[in-house]
Amino acid sequence: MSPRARSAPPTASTPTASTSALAVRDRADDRRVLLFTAGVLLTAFAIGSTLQTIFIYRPERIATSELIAEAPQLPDRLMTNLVTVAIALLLAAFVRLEERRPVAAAGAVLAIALPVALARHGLQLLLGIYVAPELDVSLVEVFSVAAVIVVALGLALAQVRTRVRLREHERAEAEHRLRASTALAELAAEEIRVRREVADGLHGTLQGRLVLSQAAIDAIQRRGVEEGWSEAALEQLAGVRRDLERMREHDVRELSNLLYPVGVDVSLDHAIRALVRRVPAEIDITAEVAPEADLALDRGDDAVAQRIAVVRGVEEGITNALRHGAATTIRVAVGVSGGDVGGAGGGETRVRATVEDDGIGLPDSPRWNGLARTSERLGLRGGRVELAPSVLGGARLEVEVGAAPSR
Amino acid sequence: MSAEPAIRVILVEDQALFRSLLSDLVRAEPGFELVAAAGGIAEARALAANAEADVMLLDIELPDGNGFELGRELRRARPGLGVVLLSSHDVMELLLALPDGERAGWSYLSKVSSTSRETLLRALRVSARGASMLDPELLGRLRPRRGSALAGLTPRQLHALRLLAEGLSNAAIARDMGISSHSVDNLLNAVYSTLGVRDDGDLNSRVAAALHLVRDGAPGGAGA
Repeated sequence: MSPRARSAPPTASTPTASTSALAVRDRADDRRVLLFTAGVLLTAFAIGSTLQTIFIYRPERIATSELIAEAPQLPDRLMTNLVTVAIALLLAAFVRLEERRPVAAAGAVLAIALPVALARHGLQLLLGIYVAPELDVSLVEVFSVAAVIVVALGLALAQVRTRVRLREHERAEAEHRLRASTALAELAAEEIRVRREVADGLHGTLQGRLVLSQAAIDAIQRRGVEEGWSEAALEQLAGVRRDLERMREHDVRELSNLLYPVGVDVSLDHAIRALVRRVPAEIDITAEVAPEADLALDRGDDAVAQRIAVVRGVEEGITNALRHGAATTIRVAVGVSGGDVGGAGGGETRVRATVEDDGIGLPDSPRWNGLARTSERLGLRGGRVELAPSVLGGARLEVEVGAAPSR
Repeated sequence: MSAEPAIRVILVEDQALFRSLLSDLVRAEPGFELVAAAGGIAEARALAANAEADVMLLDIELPDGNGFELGRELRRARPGLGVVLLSSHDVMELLLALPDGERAGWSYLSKVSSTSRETLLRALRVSARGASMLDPELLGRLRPRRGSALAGLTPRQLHALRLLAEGLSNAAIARDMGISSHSVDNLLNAVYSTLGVRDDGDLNSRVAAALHLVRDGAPGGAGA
């Protein structure tokens, strides 16, 4: 039988449109950080230096009357400094300082700092804060302010660079995680495809050939009877035929089921019913599968893999109830919990299957190898398995897997 | 021969040899007409859109999907279309997934049981007239599950239910069991009552009773 066509899982590539939109947002974000940091530093300095100039550098004029006399200069000085800050920030934004490489950025910082410092001093002269100052006073004013601007812009740039590095690191991590999970999903899809192909091969090809072999043996048996072969020879043939029949009806079926449980390509409900039907008639077993459970799993990209996980868990519970628990009554129930049970949406929906039995109960030290395997398998899918005492008197196995949130 | 119109059949089977054998079988049979034969879901969809048919013979395991789902889909457009499912697995429980109103007209045959030409043609006839027939050999292997309503039937009632599930009419059941039609009515009424099936005297209650056999019957398995 030919393999089932399956659509490829989504790849990790990001569309170009959203990449450029992201870059625009990143640049705007970087600029905001640069201007904010530099703005805070420079404004703090502007206010601080204004107050310092008046109140700290001239202790000899600390008398209240002198302070009051000095006060009219305060707004001018403050305004000069704030205008300086504004010009520096405007220039930084204009030259897109945060986008420049380190050397170019250093050059740009100097190119901003000196003219701005000069402009500030010019403004001071214009407003009469300084009247014909000596050259060294002017030089100190200009260079100290230039230094302050260099330091403030430098710190702001460092802050931007740190954020960029952090962001790139986070993005790389996220992409790595996405790639890993995509690879894992592709691997799981491939595994399911191969499983199904082999199971189909077992059912279609191998069972078909076994049927033909049985028919051939029937023909030989008939000839043997007509030609009067010995009883022993005929019995031997009949034995071979029985073996073939057992292989076809039992072994091949079991093997195929191990690979790909019957019905998982249709629904969880069907797969669980198919599983329960295989349990011997002497066992009182019923299964209830809530339609919501199938709906929840159908929303995901890997519904078949999720169904297999749940079916395997339920199978484990039934097998153990029969093998270790000597149960005669088994109740299987599959439903959903959490999230949008009531249709309210939000939160994670989980599909939960329970297998309760009336057997001998929990072993003193649970040594179910299958349970460990089931637990491991479910763990990989974010699910879990739990063994507890059952109200029926035996054991209760609970299996849970996460389902995609409702859309 | 009656002058009834021929039963028009659409065949969907992916294995080429099996498909051509089945095609020949249907074509050669008086009273049947093969209107289309497809190897997959997509092809079947396209063919079914342009072909008037009474019944579909549908393989369940198809390369591009599940035949059962295709059957449901096509029946939604044409509720009168009969469906005979064929499978190499014993997946009769698929029929349990059908809602009450959709159950009539579905039959199920196993590819690996000793399904004969007569059985296949009978299934096509039964489904074409809206009744159901389940694989006699698979039914023969079913044993009532302990604790189920099915386990409450007497051996005679169970036998009558098996014959009903095989698509036999009450008259045919009476012939097979060597009893009167009236006795069959009584027997089946007792079956319905034990299984909790409401007897509407229509096909749905017969199908519902037959499906109890599928749900609560455990396949014995010849070699197990």
